[in-house]
Amino acid sequence: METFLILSALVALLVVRTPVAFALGGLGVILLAFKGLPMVAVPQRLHGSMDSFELLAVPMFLLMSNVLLRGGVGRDLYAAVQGWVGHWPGGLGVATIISCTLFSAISGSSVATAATIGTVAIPEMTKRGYERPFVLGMLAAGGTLGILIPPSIPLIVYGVITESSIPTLFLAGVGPGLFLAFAFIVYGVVFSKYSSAYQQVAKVGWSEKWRVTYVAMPVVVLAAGVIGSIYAGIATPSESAGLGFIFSLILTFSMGRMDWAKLKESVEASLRTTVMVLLIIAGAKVFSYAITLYLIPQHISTLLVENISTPGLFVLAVGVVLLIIGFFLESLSMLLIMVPVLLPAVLNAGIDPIWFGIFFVVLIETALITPPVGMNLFIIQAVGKARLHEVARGAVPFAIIMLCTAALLWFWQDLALYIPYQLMR
Amino acid sequence: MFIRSVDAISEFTGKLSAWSLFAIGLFITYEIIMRYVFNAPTIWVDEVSRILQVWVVYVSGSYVLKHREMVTIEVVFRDPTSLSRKLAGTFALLFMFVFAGTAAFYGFDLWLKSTLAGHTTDTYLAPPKMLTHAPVWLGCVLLILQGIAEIIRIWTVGIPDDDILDRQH
Repeated sequence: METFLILSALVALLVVRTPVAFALGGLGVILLAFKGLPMVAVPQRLHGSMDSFELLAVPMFLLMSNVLLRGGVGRDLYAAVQGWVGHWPGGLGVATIISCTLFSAISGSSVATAATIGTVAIPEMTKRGYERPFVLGMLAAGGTLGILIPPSIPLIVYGVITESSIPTLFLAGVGPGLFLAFAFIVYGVVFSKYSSAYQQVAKVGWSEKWRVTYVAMPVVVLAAGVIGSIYAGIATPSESAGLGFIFSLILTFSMGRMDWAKLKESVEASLRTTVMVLLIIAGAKVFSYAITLYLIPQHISTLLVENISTPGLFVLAVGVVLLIIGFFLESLSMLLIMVPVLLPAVLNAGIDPIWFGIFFVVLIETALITPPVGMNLFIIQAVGKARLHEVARGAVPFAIIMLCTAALLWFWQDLALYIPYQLMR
Repeated sequence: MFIRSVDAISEFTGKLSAWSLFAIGLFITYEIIMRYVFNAPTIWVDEVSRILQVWVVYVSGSYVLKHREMVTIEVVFRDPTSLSRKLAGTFALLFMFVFAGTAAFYGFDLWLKSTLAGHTTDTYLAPPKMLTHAPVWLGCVLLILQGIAEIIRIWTVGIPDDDILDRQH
């Protein structure tokens, strides 16, 4: 009963548009007060939650991607990929997904990926006669690759709250991320094959191919260097992100793509997103401390263990719950509210927390493109000057692909775990 | 006058925090260069970066609130001109005061005790806790001030329509 009341209160607070950070933190404070616990724990938790070098990866990756975004890197990447694959059947769709995949290796945010590639790809694809809902849906879905392919802000946050290895989580995201990109490409090609409306792009000459590749190459090298430095043991994720930020500045300044105004914009935008994300973590820290004292995760864990006999059914139940919650909750809030509640049950069921992190992120990706609260839908709606139902309709097949991938992840766990546990051991 | 002053303080702390993030990027790069090029890792980058991160997050909460970029669930009360939305917005800010007020009150108490006792952290650099524990209560005080300004704004100039493009994180 207590568990139900607390979760209902949280839902009510969120529905009346209380910022997630304060809904979690405020409810945590009230719960601690009801138990008569010393309130000094609140500032202590708030301070402790941010006093983490691992979390610095969040602002550093945001700085890096904001600098590259304002340096016009999205256009370079798209032009380079289009030069190589644009003339294939459905080639612009293929180019869009590959560009999203490449940008995902720079940015840890799905919204940044959707906005950056969407700005370039939507006009190009619609000009060539691709059906608008298909284009919009593809961009909304392609953007979600940003949080699965490393670096990934949700995976950093998951790593911090579950005390799992962030580099291992990053590696585990590679397989499902590439698989999803491949599945999106296959769907795009098949869809285009049966669509007579679009015009195929003419093949470009070798000199043009190399020219556009040459322009985009430094960014690809930068992305590879940042991720490579983590696995070569040269730097921690936070350090490699900081280094990536400084190199992205050097790169964009040397290309004449950065000026004082853009730098100011990049730094301020990064701050706003950083604070938005990290304040939710701070609020969640107080909330999860309070619910732990109320034994809520244990109650939920016991309830699940008593009623669900096998790990497969448990994962199915969790998947359905996350899918429903994902219709209404923003992605990071979903992670910060649900992971502390579910983690004990996950460990009790003998599920690998690294695998669960990837499974969770695939479901977050689905949540990002399902209405009414799907951040990527809103971004593509704004970037493509479209109606929400148009974007949502186009995103349906991609959401189905994501759900099939989540199911596949259960039956073929090596899709996520082979790279971190076998290949890179 | 009150709103303008509070807005100005939030803008200032926000911009200062933004460039502090930039500085952290420089510190981290400096650390890596010192470690690999000069074989002389620093003893201060890790700790100074963490202290700065705590400052950045808490003192610029008011700046993010002012820019209306806190994450909210936008399922109902979508019309910014409706009375229900104004009431919901006011309730949300009042609820924020529960959180920020508690953190500010007990955070200040904790800070004052540490400051009077001259406590330092038990880390290598051992900076005074007066410095490391100030951002939580200070940031929450700024949040409360900005929250009051926002409530006044809701009932005077109204709630601006949300522009999703402003949120291209």
